[in-house]
Amino acid sequence: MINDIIQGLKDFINWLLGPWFFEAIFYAVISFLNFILGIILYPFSVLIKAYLPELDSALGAVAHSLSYAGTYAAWIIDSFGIPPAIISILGIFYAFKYGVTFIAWSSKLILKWKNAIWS
Amino acid sequence: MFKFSLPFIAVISLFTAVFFSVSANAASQYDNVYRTTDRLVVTSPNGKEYDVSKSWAGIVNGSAPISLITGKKDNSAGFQVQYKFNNQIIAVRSIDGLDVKNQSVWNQYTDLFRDKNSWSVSQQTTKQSSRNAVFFYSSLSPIEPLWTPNRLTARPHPSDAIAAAIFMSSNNIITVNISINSQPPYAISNDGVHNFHYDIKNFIFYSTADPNYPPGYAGERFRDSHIDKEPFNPKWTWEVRPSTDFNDLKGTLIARYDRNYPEFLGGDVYYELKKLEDSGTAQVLHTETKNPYQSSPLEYDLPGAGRYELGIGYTGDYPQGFSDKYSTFNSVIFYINWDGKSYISGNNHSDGESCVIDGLICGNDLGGPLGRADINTHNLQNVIAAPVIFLKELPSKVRNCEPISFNFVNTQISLPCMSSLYKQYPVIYNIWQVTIIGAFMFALSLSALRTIKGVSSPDDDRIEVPKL
Repeated sequence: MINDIIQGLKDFINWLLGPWFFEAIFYAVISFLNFILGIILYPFSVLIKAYLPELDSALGAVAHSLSYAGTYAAWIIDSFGIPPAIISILGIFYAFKYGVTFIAWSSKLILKWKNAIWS
Repeated sequence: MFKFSLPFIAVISLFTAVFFSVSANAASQYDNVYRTTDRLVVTSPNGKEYDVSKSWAGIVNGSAPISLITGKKDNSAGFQVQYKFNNQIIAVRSIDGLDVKNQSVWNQYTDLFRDKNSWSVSQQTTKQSSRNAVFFYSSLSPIEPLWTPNRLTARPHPSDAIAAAIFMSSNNIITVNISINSQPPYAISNDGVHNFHYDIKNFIFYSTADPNYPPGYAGERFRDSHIDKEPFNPKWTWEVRPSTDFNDLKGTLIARYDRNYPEFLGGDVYYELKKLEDSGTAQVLHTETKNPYQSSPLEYDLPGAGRYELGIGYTGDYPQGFSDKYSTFNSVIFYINWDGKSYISGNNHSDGESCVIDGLICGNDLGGPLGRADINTHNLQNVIAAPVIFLKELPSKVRNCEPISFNFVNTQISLPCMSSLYKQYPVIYNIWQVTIIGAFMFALSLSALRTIKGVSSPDDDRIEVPKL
């Protein structure tokens, strides 16, 4: 029964938010930021990799340590009996929240420019 | 509160683990008497093998109780079997397709019978024991097993008439054992051998009634019904992590059998990793057999970008303890973006979650947004993206929770995932989960309303920045 409820909630939220709209915006923003960061940081990354391999390893260890910590975090979440679907729903919710904010802010900015130009 | 709850959970986990592990199976001297198998192969004298496992699917209805089975060589159709009742031939079956040339008595019997009292009988042989053996019983009512420390025989119910047993010895000589009117079984055979009880190692036994087991019996149980087998996939998870060798950050594939899955009963698991070439060919990179309980997960350093196929199956032909299922080799295809540093993971039992098999991401189920974001990880970018990746992997890790092991005063302590214990009390667990979800959804709804209310103000152009 619990799985049906969770799945129903997820289906509802997925339907409400629309996998085609807010999710696309969220995905685009994340990918865009990732792309920009990649361009900005790429020269530094190459330099670090070429001349400071130890630092390169240490930076790689950051993500690795977080991944390692994820195992313990998952165990703690599991111990509290929190269903993993909640984390999924949280991701969907923030996609919705920042998607809405971003669209509203963009719309207002466009209107401001339009008013400034045409007035 | 949080920092106090961790030691509390650790202590509770420790005690529950110890409590649940303190269980010993009682063993009796009869435990090793009865053996059965689903892997049934008849080996002909010329070395040809016949897998007769599939023949279990067909139960012949309406057959009369069998009193005697004899076999003879049929020149045209191979081997012929006659079923008699009170010296009347009630059925004649010719066994085709077997090479019985130059053999006087050798055959397989694959027929199953069920009489009006729903008593199913059958026989098979196996090469998994040191001696091939076939066992067969038929009766109008459930038979009564006779247990001795070294063997198991049977006789019909006192009110019944007939039970029969067929044995195939190591040299493929068939003998027949008949019991009539509850008398101790006596043997007749076509080769004059009468004493054959000693070499019974494998047989299959059906009974619709609950047979009597010896006191303290902890061996295999008789099957109570015939069920067509269903495919059974091992439950496993996989992921690609940065290599633990920080000087060579190539992706490491980690695959493990899901030990938390309730159907896990043991046995060895076979892993096979292939690199799929664009030409359509596949190159086997690695194969390994592991015992999920006794071994660490499969770890393999991927050579680089490309498409891979990882398959896992039981090494045996069926999962131990699941006589109604047969194991299938289950595989997923995944794609490594560039140098194997992609943090991807998945499983083959996502419990209703969609899992993209031939795509970029499988098993990351943050509703799609994060799961589908292609996050490359150069060294500096790696640090910035680490929290996002952490969140991206978290649901999958919660779902496939791993026990935590650590050393404490030279003692290896393993804390099991508590949900596996909670699930033993499904009502309480469900109520707890519904409560959490309800409270969570309520808070999210309020937050969503506040967001909508905030952005609906035409003069408010503030931007809410995600707090990663």
